[in-house]
Amino acid sequence: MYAEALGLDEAAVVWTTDGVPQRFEWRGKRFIVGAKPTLWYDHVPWWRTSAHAPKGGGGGDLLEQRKWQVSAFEAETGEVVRVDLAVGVDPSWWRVTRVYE
Amino acid sequence: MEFTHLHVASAFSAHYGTARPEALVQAVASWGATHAAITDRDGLYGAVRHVRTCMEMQIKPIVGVDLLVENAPLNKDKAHETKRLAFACVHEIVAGEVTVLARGNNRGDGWASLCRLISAAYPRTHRPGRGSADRQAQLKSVAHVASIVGGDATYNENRNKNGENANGLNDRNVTNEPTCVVLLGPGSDVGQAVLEGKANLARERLKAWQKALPGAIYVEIVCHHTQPGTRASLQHAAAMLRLARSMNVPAVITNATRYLTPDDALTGDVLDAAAQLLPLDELPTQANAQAWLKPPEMMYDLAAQVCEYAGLSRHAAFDLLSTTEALAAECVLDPDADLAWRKPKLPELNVIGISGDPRAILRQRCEDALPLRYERASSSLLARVYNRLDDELETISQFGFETYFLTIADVTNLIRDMNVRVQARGSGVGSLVNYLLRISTVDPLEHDLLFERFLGRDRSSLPDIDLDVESARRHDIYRAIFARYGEHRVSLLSMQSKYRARGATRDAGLALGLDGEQIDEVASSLWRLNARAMRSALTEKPELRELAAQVAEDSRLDLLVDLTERLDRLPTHIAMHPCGVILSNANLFSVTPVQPSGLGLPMSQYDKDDVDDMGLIKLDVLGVRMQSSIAYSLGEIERINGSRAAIAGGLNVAARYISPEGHIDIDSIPLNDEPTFEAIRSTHTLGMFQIESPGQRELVGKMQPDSFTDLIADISLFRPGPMKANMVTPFVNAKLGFAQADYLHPRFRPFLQDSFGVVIYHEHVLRILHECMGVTLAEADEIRRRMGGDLTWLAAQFRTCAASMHDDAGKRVFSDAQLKRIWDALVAFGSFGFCKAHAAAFALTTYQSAWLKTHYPAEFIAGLFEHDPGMYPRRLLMAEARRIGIPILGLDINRSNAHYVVETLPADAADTSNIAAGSRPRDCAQDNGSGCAQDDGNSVRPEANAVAKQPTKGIRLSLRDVKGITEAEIVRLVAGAPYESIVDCYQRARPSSRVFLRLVSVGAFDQLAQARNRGELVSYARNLVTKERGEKACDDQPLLLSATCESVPSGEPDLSHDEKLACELEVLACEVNEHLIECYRPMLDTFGVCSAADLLQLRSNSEVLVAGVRVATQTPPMKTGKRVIFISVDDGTGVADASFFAEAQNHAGKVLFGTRLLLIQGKTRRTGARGISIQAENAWDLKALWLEWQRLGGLHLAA
Repeated sequence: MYAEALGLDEAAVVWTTDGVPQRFEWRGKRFIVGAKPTLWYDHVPWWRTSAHAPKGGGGGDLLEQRKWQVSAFEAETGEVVRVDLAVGVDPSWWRVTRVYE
Repeated sequence: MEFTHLHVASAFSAHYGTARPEALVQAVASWGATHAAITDRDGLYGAVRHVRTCMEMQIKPIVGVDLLVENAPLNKDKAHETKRLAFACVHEIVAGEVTVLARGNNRGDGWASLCRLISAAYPRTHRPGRGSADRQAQLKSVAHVASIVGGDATYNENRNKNGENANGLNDRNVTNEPTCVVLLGPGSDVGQAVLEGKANLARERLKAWQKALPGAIYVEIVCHHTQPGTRASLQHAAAMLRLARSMNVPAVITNATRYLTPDDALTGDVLDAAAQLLPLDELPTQANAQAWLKPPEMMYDLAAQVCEYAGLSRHAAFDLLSTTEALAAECVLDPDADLAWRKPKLPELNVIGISGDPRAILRQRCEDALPLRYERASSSLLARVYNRLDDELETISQFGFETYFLTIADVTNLIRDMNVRVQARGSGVGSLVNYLLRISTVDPLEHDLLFERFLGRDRSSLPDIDLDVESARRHDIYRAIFARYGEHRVSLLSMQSKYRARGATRDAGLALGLDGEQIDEVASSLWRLNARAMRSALTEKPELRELAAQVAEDSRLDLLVDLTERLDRLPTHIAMHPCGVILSNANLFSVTPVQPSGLGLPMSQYDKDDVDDMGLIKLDVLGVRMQSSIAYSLGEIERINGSRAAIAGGLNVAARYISPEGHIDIDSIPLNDEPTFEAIRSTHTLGMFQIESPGQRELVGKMQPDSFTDLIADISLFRPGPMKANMVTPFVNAKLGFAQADYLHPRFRPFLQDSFGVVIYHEHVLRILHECMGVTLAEADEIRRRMGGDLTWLAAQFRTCAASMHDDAGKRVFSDAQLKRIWDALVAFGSFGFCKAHAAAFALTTYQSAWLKTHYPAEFIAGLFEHDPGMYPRRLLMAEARRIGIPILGLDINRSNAHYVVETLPADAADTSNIAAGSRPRDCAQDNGSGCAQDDGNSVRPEANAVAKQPTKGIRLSLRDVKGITEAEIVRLVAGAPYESIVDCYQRARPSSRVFLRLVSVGAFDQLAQARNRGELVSYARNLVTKERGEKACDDQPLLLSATCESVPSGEPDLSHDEKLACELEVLACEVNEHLIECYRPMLDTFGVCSAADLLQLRSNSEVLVAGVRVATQTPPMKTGKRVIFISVDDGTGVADASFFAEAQNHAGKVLFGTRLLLIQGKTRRTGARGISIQAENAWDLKALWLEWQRLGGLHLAA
């Protein structure tokens, strides 16, 4: 549901290999991605953001957002985080959409 | 690269799937798949379609179902469990989802189990409604499932020594293996436990399934790449795989498919919102769009990913995929061996009351009926009859359909024994056997109907016989059929309701969270359209201009249009088919699953096409309101006239079809009653079956029918095809003598007589092909069936055969010139022909209704009020009654009851206050001195004097008409009558105060309290009601209300004419005494508006204004493709018909579709001997005009 308070939407710049995130910059810090990131697909409130949704118009892309759930550690302090990285159209357009406690 | 999806929901999983079964099969075929499965939710709604498509595409079919099973209680303590259940609000907590697939090649065991399992999942009583988040079907436990699909389940005792049931199938499991397999996926009880991390519980549950159904349990791996830690995530899938392997349970991989493509997921969201009645913003949506029919490569990838995540080798992925394919192979169904595809499943002989050889019995029954049906036949006619009978029985024998005919005859007799009117419709009316068995009511020899049109040579499935019955008794008939044949042989039929524009707009609008009013406005503008054509409609149709502008401005409305188009034609829910009944042998439930219908009787999940493929007999028992009206009229005739019935109807007292008590056998009336045809020709056909629409009135006005044959032609011609192709003109010209009838060839003359040379009927074409090509009539029917559209395939063959026909002298029968013209006629016929048998059955009812209206108009119109069979509202029929001199008698508390009854008025018609003001007897058949029928070849004496002395009959309005009145109130009011006073009624019958006041306001007590005017009565009644309310507080005080009308205070002014009319319209939705157009009389007269009755006096092409209440709006398809709107208005003197072409539509705009009272301007157009219509130029809202006119002081306004 989209009234959740946990939703974040913060910019991140991500470096990938074969599409899989390896490192990223976020909140001014640098992180290195640890063990296997998990790809998943989230559901986007397309009815709020799209003006059109004609049948056969490739709506799957409107509805889904590719994300990677990653465990990463901060390069300097070793702080460990687990976050969702939402894939962007280019490396500097990724978003951090959730931080797991 | 093979992959078979084993878990696939089609659009028939209502509010869940989005793809039609055919589309899903085609999609897998495009990958070169050899197997295809369907597993809809809670039923086999799409299964038969699926099998049919697979057969066509030579793909092996697999069928299963997705069902809920209640989870076993976690805690042994029942009380604790009940409490837990009470707080569970999402079904997943208390039930798990399983997919059950039928095993194949086991002589139908798997299919039978599947059907019974599904039937068992439904509670006995439930109303089918929207497919909602609360799925209605649920099995009680693992044990419950095992009891039905397990190895030792048995079903019934009707078996031969090979253990085969009546279908030749053995649905008892001889091998003791489960007949189905169960897939336990992420939504199952096992999957839920895995997700919650409860490994022990998961193992326990899996063990329980294995124990119950050994060798038939599979773990279903589904990975939708959902958020880690949620259902169907990669994590979840991997954990399930590990569990399966650790317990040695085989695992398969599926994609739990809902969609054909990811794009469909958007539609899925809207469907979910609709099902849960929540806007999308509040909906717990599906996880993502991954549940689509992924191609093999992607499924292989998924398998690899799951195995890798689970820490298993690549070999494990290979195992997963090959187990999936192996299971697919095990579940392939053989349509013949497993489903007895298309093999007729008829009731057992003893059930239909037969012992002995059906063939002999059928012949005997037919021959026994000959003296009744052909009582006065000449010997040459009898010879023809016998020949025909032999032919038909021979053909029936070849097919082995004797039992079928005897079954239908049994049902028809059952209905007739209930005293309900019944007659067959459709091509079956062409069969002499049906006529002799009293299944149909029209003599096929007299009307030149062909058996071959009904039952030809190459038919492989059972013919269809449809029965028309009284609509009001339909449910009684169903119950009688169930009682007679037993509930394990009978079920009702279902049909799928689909989204249409209005419903789709509503649901899409609610999903978007739009304002209710806004949605209503959009929906009501679009209700007539197809949802998928909304965008184009918005740009094309003038009356949608405003809406189109709104859509352009508001992006949410724009999105609304897109979403509405997506919903178009998707099934919304299953509903009981209004007419269908399935009859079978005792193994019905092994062939079809059933669920409650809402009527207390089960219905099959198959629709009518599925039923054909499964070989079940489907009988359409159509409730026809006109049959109820006719039955009611006949009852009134007998009741009110008794032994004087013949005289009252202007009929010969010696007529055989009228009993001394006044009971009329309307199926035996002669079909050549001249007054009836005169009445039809007058085009005052309101109330007459099928010929009361504006278009029909025009056609009848043109063709002037004077025989039953003409009526058959009229019904056949009045369809878009023949009308567009202008087949009417040559018919009319030949009939009225303006032109020579063209029979195309002398040999055709005998059979083209009935239509003056115009090729109208299928039966004509059969004969033409027979003559020209030398084929049998049965072969000709085969050719005819293929004759839609392009006929090049037939042209050469036709010409060759016909050219080689020679007569005895060796001369060619058909010249080239003749052949050309015959061929042209056949090409034109192509899609326009109509089955004459079908038309004949209709025409009989048309004739009967016209006959009744002619001879017993009051009783007939009372029947129309009672059952409302036609296209017009009751108030128009009341206007028609007034027009022909039948008074409408207002509500009278001591005379009105739950029905519309005919009352004989005293000879001096003293009851003037209740009789229509300004009614003039018109076209009253009783005024024609010669209103008598020919009968028995005797000449009849005109009973003119008797007619003149006939008492006037009026129709008393019924209590039903009162706005807001309940059944209970009607019962009480009727039970307590007669009443002595207003107070007496109020106290004894206890109507609600609202209803009571309404009764008073429309004069129900006027007769009772004659010394007072209605204004005084209304006042008094109001006081009564208020007093009663006030005194309810002090119960012990008796109500001191006077009982006599002397104590009704006088001195109040009476209600004005307008006030009375307003009350009538408010309470009864109709005017009792005077047409409501009269309210506008001053303005109409000033404008020089012409009455409908006077139109015929005008010359063609004169400018005219007409006004009235809209009674019909039609937009039939036109030859040019441009839209024309036909509107008819009634002004109490008749109905005026106007047509609006493009320019007029532009001028008139919105008025054409919403406004009730219209003023129309245009030019007259003569359309025939008695036909006139108006080519409209403009139209206005009459009421609005009136208000404006009054405001301006009633001056003449330029049009």
